[in-house]
Amino acid sequence: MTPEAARTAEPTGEQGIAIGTLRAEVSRVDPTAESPGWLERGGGRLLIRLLYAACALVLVVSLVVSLVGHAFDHAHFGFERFFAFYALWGFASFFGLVLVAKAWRRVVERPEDYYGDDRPIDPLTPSAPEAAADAPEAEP
Amino acid sequence: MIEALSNLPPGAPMMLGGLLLLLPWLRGRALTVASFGLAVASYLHFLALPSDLTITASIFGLDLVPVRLDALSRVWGHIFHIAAVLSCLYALHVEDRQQQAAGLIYAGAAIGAVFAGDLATLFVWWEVTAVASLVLIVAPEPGNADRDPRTAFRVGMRYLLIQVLSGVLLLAGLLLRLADGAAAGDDPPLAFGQLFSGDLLQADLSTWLIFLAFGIKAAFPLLHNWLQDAYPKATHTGSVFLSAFTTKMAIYALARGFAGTEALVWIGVVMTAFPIFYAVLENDLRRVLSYSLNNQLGFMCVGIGIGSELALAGAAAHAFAHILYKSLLFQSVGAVLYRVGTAKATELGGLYKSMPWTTGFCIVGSMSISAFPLTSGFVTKSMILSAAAYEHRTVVFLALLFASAGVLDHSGIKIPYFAFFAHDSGLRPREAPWHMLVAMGVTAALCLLIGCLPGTFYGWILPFDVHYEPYTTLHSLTQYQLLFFAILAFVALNKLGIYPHERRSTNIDFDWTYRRLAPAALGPLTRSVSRAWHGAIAAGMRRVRTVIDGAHDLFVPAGVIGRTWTVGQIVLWIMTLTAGYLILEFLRR
Repeated sequence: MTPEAARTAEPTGEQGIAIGTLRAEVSRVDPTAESPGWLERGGGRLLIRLLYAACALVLVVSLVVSLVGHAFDHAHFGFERFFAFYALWGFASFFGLVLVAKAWRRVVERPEDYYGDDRPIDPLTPSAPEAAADAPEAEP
Repeated sequence: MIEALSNLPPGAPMMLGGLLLLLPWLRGRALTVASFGLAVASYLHFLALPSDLTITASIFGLDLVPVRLDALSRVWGHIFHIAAVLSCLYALHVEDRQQQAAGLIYAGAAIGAVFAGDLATLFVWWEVTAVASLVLIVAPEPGNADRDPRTAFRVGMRYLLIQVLSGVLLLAGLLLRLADGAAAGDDPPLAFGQLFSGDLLQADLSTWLIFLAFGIKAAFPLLHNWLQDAYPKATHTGSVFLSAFTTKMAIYALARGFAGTEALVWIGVVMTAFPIFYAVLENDLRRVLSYSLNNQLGFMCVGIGIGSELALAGAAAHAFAHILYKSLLFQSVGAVLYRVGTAKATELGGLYKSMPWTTGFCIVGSMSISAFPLTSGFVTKSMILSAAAYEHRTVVFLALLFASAGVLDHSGIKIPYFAFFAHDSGLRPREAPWHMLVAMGVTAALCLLIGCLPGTFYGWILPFDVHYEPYTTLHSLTQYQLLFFAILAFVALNKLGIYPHERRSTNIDFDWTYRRLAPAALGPLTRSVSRAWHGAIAAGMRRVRTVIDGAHDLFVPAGVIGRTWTVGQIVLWIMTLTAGYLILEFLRR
């Protein structure tokens, strides 16, 4: 069944009540024809600048606190006493995670229909390959 | 009447109501409103119960404790009821009798399980949750492009097999325990208290079986794939229910039975770390959330494994907060699925323009799971991290920090970014229906409330009298460092063009071993067993047919026995039989 057919088919349960039907209320527009949203008009750039500022601010405050305050003396591990440890660890973790995941993808990535229960489907156009759907499921 | 109600176990109003909903009395919106009403009534009933209610029973000579309310189980009682109420509100448009009834019975059974005072009662509810939740996975959902309706049943069967396996292990464990306990004179042998702590290698078989049973439902590494397999294929409201109960019921069981079991620390560390690699890659956003759910369970396992009062309180509090923000994330992605028909990142993007409220609530959920200060994740996760630090567990602590940065990636950034921002897909779905928005709004408000009033929250919910202050200068500063610089890494990766693009793909996980490798390896064996079996059946059937044909030949009107005999023939037969009898009688003497 194509997604389009699936959407229009209203299977009825007892007493003719439609069951479990998704009310897909969605239209598609050409994003390039619309006037750009706040994010495209520079909001995105502003957010990124705010992030840079926040990063700088939190580092400066941490440095000041570690020099004049005693907050960092309560740390449980030696490495925590370095004022920028969490910043470095957070950045490195995120960066490393994504790099390792990308490498891992080469090992584990398979076609979408590998197991036979996911088929590439476009939400609006019924382009699902009917042949693939009708093929018998791979049985060992 | 009131007297009878006050004797009902917690969760029972919901479960009985769920059974009543199966009768064709109500339909349409009345059905779903009744479902919501039952969840609310069940919570009110729970609030009215005495805080130390215990119900004992003696069945087949076994002393059982079907209901035990205490400080630890109360935490789960509250959050399971809240999750049930919010999920029912969210599902107000699903006028499907089976799904509504299953949701209530599922939630009620999970509540029954956390108040079980003995392993036999726990086993019963353990299995009821498995069966009831199955309905939420296999229920029909036309228009959901993320699943093939013809394979929903197969997904459901895989799910049920693994869930029932967990139940069978629990049953085997409790029977062994019963036999051993009866021999050792334990009283009562099936009590569900602390079952074990310390080095698991020295545990006996029954303990191992029960630990594995809990481990399957808690999605331990290598036992986890049922979660990522089934939850993304559930209905859009079903996954909201599912995200709350089964796994957290298992976390409760671990907290009750295995607090301080060292192995749990390391299992938890692996659980926090490895699912995030998949979460980075996955395309189906509900699958991303399932991996992320798995990762959050890891934090709770570490807390339970450490076993100090602060760590256990942290695990309980984190389970509470986690159910809320995870439910919120599943709700917002479910709303997208409901409106668009898919939750795949490749198909989405730019939805903030037409679904601003859903976007906002999703961001609150994302910030909570990423543990931003002033959200619920911060005040609960930092308890577990602090507990690890107090015990000076350097490796565990660093691994949890790494995982925290990972959470920020897959749930904090990826979910809202690819669904609502990223490249504009041009899709303009309508905003979610009002009741979904109310459910999301209340959940988001609770996330923020817990984050802003940690003292009140701890005082209300914590099972132990622990004093913990999440908002110290050090905690807040270091958390901001971790989060801001992790986001900075995201920006850098995007600017460098390294951040992995979303692709339509399947990423194979450990389930490949039982969905592909084992069938392929055992194929010849199963085929020959199957051939031998069918051969034996066919041979047996041939024998049966020969007998039937023979009897048929004898008894048909023209057959030897079936045909009409003359009087002379009958007399001859009587004479022969009488003579034979006389001879036998003569020989006997």
